[in-house]
Amino acid sequence: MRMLSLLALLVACCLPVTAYTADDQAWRQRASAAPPEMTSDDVTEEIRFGREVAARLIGRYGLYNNDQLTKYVNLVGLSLAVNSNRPELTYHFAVLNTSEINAYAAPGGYIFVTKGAIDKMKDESELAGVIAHEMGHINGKHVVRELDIKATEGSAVSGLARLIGGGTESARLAFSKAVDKAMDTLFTTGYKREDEIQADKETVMLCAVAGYDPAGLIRYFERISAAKGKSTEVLDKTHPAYDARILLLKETKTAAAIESAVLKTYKDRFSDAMKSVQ
Amino acid sequence: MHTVRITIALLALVFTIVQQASAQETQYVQSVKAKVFSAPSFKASVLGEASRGTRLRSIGREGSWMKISYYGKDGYVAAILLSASRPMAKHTMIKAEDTEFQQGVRRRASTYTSAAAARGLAADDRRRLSGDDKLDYDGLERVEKYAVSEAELVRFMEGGTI
Repeated sequence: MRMLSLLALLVACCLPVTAYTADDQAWRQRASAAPPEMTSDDVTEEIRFGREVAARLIGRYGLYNNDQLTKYVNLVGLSLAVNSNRPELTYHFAVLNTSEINAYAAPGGYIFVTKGAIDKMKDESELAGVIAHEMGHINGKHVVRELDIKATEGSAVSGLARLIGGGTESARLAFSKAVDKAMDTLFTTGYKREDEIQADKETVMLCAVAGYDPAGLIRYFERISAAKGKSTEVLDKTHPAYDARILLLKETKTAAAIESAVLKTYKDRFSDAMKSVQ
Repeated sequence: MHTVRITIALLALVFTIVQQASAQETQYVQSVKAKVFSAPSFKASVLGEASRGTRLRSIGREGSWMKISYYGKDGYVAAILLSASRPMAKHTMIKAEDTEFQQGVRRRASTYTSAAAARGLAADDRRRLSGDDKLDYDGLERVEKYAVSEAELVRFMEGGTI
């Protein structure tokens, strides 16, 4: 009798699960989305913050004014952006007028590649790899999480706090300090190591999904790792060693069963775009 | 003793079923489109394409790939294209006035101004900020306004020239 009771209990436990797995229609009806990680207001706050960082980056270097190159970088960036897992963002791409070799991401969808970095590239998959890495920082919300940028009360950069304070001096100062810290991350301290790893891993899949050979970023790293001096000073200071990054990219590519042969480098199209660059 | 063994076996069975069920979860396509492959490889045959917002049933994860149930078959989608949350609506670009409100400082759109002066910071903060920290809103506006047509992008993605 005790055994029968136990069996009845077990059957009762199993019933909802059986229905869940066996009846696809019922599953669809029951399936519910996880609550969004960010609210719409949080995204607005992220974009506002990102605009300040982007304006400072442009203020520091200036834009490289070449219509054809700007268009090309935008086309490559948007080819990746259609595969982004943050459809709420509008991505913007631009070239910074400096011989320094680097690329930057500002929260909210702002991505910059330096003219110096583009000069070191040999094909489009390398450019795609650099942009995809920066997109990985935005999609991973690395700065947003680190600086706790959201629209709720208690956040260091809180829209609500600003409304309550009526845009007070202290609120503006807190906002400015957070932007300072983001600039420190980009130019001095770098992202957390795990954030860099995540961005590199995502680069491999994002490039492959967009049809680009993820080995492009590996080739680019191998080339710039040989460049020493002022042009890579910030990049070297803020990123993990190239050897470790190249190894990670190769391992990720192998684990995801990505074969370069089925993906493109668009070397000729890159060469055509570079004809406009002196 | 025999009863105990049966009980343990049944409990293990229930645990397995529950585990399998919990491994299944709803995933939503976040990218514009997501190819569904027959195996976790870009070389595998394509079973179909799911558009943004499509709800998929995940039945496991294999590295960078999400295994899903697709019209009665097992399929694989790049995990970076999926999320457990529904895709959010596109945010429109923030107008310059919002920034002005946020900063609490009236700023002409064409002004190229130092960050410290624009924000009315304390003297120490103004000293702390170097000449490098300038805000170029003109440049930002140009970057934000830059657009390529959908037709151009599609042509480019299909391998066309610039």
